[in-house]
Amino acid sequence: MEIFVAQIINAIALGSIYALLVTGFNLLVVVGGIFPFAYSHIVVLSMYMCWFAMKVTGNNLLAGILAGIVSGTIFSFLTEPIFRPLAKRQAQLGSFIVAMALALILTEVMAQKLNMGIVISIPQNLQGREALIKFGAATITAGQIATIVGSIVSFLGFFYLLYRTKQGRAFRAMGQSPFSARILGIPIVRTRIYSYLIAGLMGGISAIFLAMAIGTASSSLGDNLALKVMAVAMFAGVGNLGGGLVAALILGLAEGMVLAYLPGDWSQAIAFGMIMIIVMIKPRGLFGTMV
Amino acid sequence: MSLGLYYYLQLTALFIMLGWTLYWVYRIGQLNNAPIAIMAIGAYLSAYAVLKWGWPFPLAFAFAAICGTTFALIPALALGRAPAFSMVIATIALIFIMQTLFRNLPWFGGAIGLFRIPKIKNLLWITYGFLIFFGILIYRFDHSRFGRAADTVFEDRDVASTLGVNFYLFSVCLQVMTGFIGAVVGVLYAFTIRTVIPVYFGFPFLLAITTFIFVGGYTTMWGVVVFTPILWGIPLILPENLAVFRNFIYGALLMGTLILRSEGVIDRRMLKKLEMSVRSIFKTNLKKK
Amino acid sequence: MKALKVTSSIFILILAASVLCFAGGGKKGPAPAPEEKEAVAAEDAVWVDEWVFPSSNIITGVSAYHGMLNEFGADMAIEEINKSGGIRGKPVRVRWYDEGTQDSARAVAAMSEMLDTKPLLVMGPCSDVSVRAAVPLAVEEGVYSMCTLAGYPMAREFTPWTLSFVANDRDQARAAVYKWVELVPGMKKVVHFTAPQSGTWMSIAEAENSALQDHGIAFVDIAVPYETVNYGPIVVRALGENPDGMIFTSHPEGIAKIIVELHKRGWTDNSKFLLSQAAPVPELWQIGKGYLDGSYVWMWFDPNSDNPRWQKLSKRHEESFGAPASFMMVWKGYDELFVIKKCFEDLKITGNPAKLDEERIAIKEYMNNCSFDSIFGPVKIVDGVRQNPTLIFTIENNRLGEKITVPLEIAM
Repeated sequence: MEIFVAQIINAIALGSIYALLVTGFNLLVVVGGIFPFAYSHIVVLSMYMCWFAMKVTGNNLLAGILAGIVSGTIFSFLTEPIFRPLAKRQAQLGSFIVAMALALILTEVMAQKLNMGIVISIPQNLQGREALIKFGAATITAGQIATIVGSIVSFLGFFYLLYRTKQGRAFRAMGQSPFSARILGIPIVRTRIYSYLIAGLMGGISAIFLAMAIGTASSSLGDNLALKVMAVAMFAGVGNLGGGLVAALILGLAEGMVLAYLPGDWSQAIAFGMIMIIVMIKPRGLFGTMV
Repeated sequence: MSLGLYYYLQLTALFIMLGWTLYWVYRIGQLNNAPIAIMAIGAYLSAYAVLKWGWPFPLAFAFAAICGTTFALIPALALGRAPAFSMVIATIALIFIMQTLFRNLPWFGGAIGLFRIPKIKNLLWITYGFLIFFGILIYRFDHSRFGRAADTVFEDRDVASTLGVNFYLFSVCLQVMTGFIGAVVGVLYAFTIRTVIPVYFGFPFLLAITTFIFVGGYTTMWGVVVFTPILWGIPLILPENLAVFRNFIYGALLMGTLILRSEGVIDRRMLKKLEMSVRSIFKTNLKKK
Repeated sequence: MKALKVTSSIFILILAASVLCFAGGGKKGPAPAPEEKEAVAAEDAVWVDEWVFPSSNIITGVSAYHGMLNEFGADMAIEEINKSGGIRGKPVRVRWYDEGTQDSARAVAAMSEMLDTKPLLVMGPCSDVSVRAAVPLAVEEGVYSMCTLAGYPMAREFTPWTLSFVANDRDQARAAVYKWVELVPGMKKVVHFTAPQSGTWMSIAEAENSALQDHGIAFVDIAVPYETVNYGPIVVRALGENPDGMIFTSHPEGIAKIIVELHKRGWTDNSKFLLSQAAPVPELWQIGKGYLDGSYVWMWFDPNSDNPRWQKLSKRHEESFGAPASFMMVWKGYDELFVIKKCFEDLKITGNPAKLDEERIAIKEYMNNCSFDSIFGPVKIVDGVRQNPTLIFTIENNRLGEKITVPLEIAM
């Protein structure tokens, strides 16, 4: 029984990681009008910046956290001019391809230039390795708690922003129709830039939680996460906020259970298989697309 | 013929055909990556038939092509009406599923795969034969009512349906056709590389093909034809100390092209201008005579 | 005017395509002997001005770091060889070709380019995937390839046309497990963390399992996918099997994280861990810091060797990469060049294009059975396979500590 409980906790922690990422992803889809495949790569790059800051400051926690958050925001902001012409043309598929190209470049940068391509290990004072709650094989670590709580807080914060603030209304208006939003006097370019900044901020925060939960980062992590985040978004329905969170948890559970109980390395196949089936049956996602 | 030239010609032909699989279904606005997964089926089944059952190459080829095409029907029927992104994700998922299947099924050698695939004489001729055949097929499609229907669908699916275009059937047919091409390419690839490992047919492959088609131009079949040899050949002409920037160059070219020239370098307007210029040259020369 | 523009555009396109088709790619083959050398002084006089060895390397992609290490070791060897007068009085250079990361098409393209330079031999490819795709070309052309990283299945397939520095890893893996079982008696059940995506590692894992079977020890294989971000489920599953010991034949990052997870969940006896030979790389030490002491690692080279050449390389590696060298990629390029040097000097290779086939065969015959002074001391190559010791280390203070040399016969 405790083994099963331990597996559930692991799976929820895994799903929380995906949920963190899919929230920022959905913001850029809805408001930015793009398909940000490279979002996960920017998050991983922020993890590298966090690690670097801690390395040069003698493992200073605050420096690492600030570096991660600030770099996520800046990197996301810097990608806005790249996607602006595509967003104007409402070329979502085109933006997906451009994002793939950006991801390719970022992966190469991490593989060749950052720490000479060696996997980075986040200092232990940021990693939440210590088991806070333990019962037999089941443990809950600080990192897992932070990830789960962080994703819930992120989601709530984002929900509040989107549905309770003026800026959020502007975001939703742009997501529905940029043309109408312009007519209504919403500053399109500025709103789009804000969406990149907020997505970047969320990405930076995600990077810190990821650093706590995973403890390492490598050049291939971006691709791994990007595919899963994209799949989760499609599974739920692109742009569907609440759906994204639920879908992330479902995927995390499925992957975790497969890793835990099935032989071979079927976890990825089963996770993707689930997504494929859902997409085939419900092309607009399990919960439908939504702004 | 030098070895380098042989493999350059062989691989560019295969990549051109793969690029056409993306191009053909994208004519109706759907980005279908399933041919890469079908390629794995074609490669594995043909290699297995030759190595384990001792079948001659033509028989193994036909077997793998038929199986691949039949398999292509399954996602095609399910994804016929899928929106663009759904198809992208579902078919990327299919690529990973295929990789995992072939890695875990015991008959296909696992992670080690199948090897010692025999050399086929005149494989280059066979490859170019198929290249020309598929090229003609796609050219005829583009210049037929089906091509015009595809243009309409690409612009507006609803308008196309009011004009009598059955989008679902159209999509399924194109997916199956491109599945057939994918299976053929898979067989040819297996007999070119002469070994088949699951990891060969993965995401990096998809990235490369996507670069070729979107830089070359996705509105005509010629973009892939012209730019695949150029892009594949870039590393061959790069000085040694710049080889490290290969992926940067691909990424930058892809981004730059899509931002500055969304339809790719060779679009229909350019082709039309070229055609008119060539015609006017010939008309002028004829007049002079 | 318009017609001229169009015609010239078409012409430029055709020219560009032709250049790409027939371009030499900015590479240099071995410098050809000038016609004036017709009257050679002696039959074995060197014909080239410089020895250029084409080498397939991982220059781009997520594994570019491995290629960097390969170049690092090779550059050091080139420096030393050229300082001591080169090979038969001529300097040495390596021309690098990119095989990409797990890119079969790129590996084949690189190999075909290398073979077009009519080399005496080729170095690389590096990865299993590339070896599998590209080495058959070299074999067909009658060119020896130093794919020194090739694991057992690859080496057996291409012998006698390849040289592998690791190939008898099956026998070594078995010997390592035999010794481990002796060091940790009383085990009845072992969990084996494997890497199903790697053919070479699966081959090693099978060999290790066979050794466990010989001792009547039950084993459970648990696959460790490369792309997973959370190792919790795998670890809990492993603990659910109630094993007495664990073997790790997987990627180092995964191994370190699994061990950390095991500790978090109450496992304390590291002596019950046996880490496989690919493990001791920087990721392992960085991620597993503080959790690895007491574990056993089996290797087939000694990173603590006091051989001055190894010490020099390791020190330079530490200056460049921040940690002492412990990964095979660092020294394989180095040793490859030294075995080539010895081969060329013993056989008096000339580089004469007229003798190309003859010299290629001579190189193949030599390389299959020879001995040379490697960076770790004298080493024999028998039937294309480097005769490596099996060493078991205990990890102490996050480094490889006490060493036990294990004879292969223990498992035969």
